[in-house]
Amino acid sequence: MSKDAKSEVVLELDNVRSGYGRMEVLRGISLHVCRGEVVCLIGANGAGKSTTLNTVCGLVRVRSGEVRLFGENTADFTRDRLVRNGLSQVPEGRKLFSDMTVQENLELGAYLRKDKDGIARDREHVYSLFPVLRERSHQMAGSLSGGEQQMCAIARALMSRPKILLLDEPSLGLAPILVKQIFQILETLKDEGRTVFLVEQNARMALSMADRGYVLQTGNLVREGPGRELLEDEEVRKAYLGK
Amino acid sequence: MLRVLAVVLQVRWWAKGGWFKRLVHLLPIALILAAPLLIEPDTSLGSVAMDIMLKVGVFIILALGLNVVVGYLGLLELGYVTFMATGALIATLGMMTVKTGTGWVLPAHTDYLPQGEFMFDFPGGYLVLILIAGLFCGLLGVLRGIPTLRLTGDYYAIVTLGLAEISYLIYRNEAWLSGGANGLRLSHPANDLTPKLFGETLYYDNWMLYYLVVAVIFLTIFAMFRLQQSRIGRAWAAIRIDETAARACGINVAWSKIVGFGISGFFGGVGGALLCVTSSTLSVNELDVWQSIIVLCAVVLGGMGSIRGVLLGTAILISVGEFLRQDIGGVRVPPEARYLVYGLMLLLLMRFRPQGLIPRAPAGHPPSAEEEEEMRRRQTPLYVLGENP
Repeated sequence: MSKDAKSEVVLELDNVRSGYGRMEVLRGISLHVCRGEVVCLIGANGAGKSTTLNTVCGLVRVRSGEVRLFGENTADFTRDRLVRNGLSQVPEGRKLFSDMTVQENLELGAYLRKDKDGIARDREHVYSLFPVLRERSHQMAGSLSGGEQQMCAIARALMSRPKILLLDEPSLGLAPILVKQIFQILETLKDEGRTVFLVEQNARMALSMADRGYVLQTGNLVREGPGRELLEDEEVRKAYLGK
Repeated sequence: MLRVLAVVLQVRWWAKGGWFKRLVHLLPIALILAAPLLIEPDTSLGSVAMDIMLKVGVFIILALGLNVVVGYLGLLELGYVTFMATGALIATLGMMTVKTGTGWVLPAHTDYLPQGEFMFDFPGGYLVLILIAGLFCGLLGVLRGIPTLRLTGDYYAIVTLGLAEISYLIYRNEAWLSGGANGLRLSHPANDLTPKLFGETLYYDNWMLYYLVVAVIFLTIFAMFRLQQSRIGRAWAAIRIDETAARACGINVAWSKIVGFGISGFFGGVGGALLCVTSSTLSVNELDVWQSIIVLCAVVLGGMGSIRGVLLGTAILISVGEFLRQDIGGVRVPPEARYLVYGLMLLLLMRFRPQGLIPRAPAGHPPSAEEEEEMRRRQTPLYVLGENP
């Protein structure tokens, strides 16, 4: 099929069930993300997209099944251990350090790293990805516009030099032109060969750039396949693309 | 030479500032060091001044310690008095411990002192006691911190308030340990237990105690400056602003908080150990929750998270409070009057300067000249109408 058949599996969910209280949200989902792949997870509101990410990050406890990062079960990983092992996330709602400057936000993104030269190089690199952040580098992150904040959050996540980047609804609440920009940046990340796991409402945009996609429906995965294929799929079109 | 020292000690105002700025900073330090030349502790006015300075000094150490939790970690701490009382108790008991024929004895009552050799009656013994008090309270801070790790805001405040009340009740009721309501007295008719340092008794009428407190203050300020700039300091700032984001950056929130609690407790214990000597008695009766609130008020008045602010806030709050306790021109103000004045001061502060007298420096450093030039050069709007696809 594609390159993922032989390449290394970075993140793997194996028959994962999880939820909140008495409510089970994820009813046994299995998916995997290989090195260098951009994988997106789409689904309607309440399908369990964010729960999937929260389960991967350990915010929601796995009830049965396993989440594996590079083959290791993450059940008793702390959050900083996840970051240490190469998983970096852009939390929903951006969660920037609003009283700190953009530059300090980026430095905190690299908190676990100690190679000063590498950090400086990566900072230059993310500034070249997001030129607007360089202009704002000494402004408080809280004073940025919504789109700039989203870019800052992605840039901060990149600063830890992650082996896999988790994005939760990067287009949430942004003007269409900014959504387009964010997706252009994701394309760049894809071209750089980074591994990205993306959860998105904007199915058309997400599927057209992703290597593979999964469709989540009320806690079950109902479709999986290359992004282009899913875009063509009759049922997916009906359900999520409005046609 | 001085410049090198300034860089090593991270004293920015010396390394970077002009002569005027250096003078502004040096003047108060010179005044503090030269105080013995200006004040006669034997006169009544001099002894009052001395008393106030010592109290302010000890509370500066306490306030800087509390500032770690309140200012850096951003938690509302109401139980700081636990560390003050524990530190004071450890130091006092240490000075009273006597070696008799049968072994080490803790005197149960102040009117009975067994004769024998005092355990910490060796040169520098009191310094060792201060350190022990600090370390024990640091450990206490860690232990107390573990169950409160997940609490923030009001919940953290309530728990610490409750723990402070518990420790207060324990100390007040366990008279065999703390002397209970009577307290423990260091200046004893049978045997003066006031500690000595370099052959000088640590008492307000000679300057050894004063310089000891000043030395500890300088060490504390230095430690705080270094902590602020360290990795752990940045982790604290991140946790204060947004704990979720701090976690997402890979900061070990639990560990960072525990280190903060430990450091805060350490300085609480050190301050407590000094406090009992400046007043030459320990009465746990007075170390109630209100003492936590007073230290907290000093931090809030000066500016949470700002070292200079905490210094100024403590100096103002404590000296005003102590001043009101003295006879002013023959008129005696009731001791509770100072709380009225504190309340008024804080009300005015909240109305006109809620960030504190000297607020913490804004995050980040100002852009350098090159960075500014770079930013100007690249000043492009995010998108231009009509130009973007």
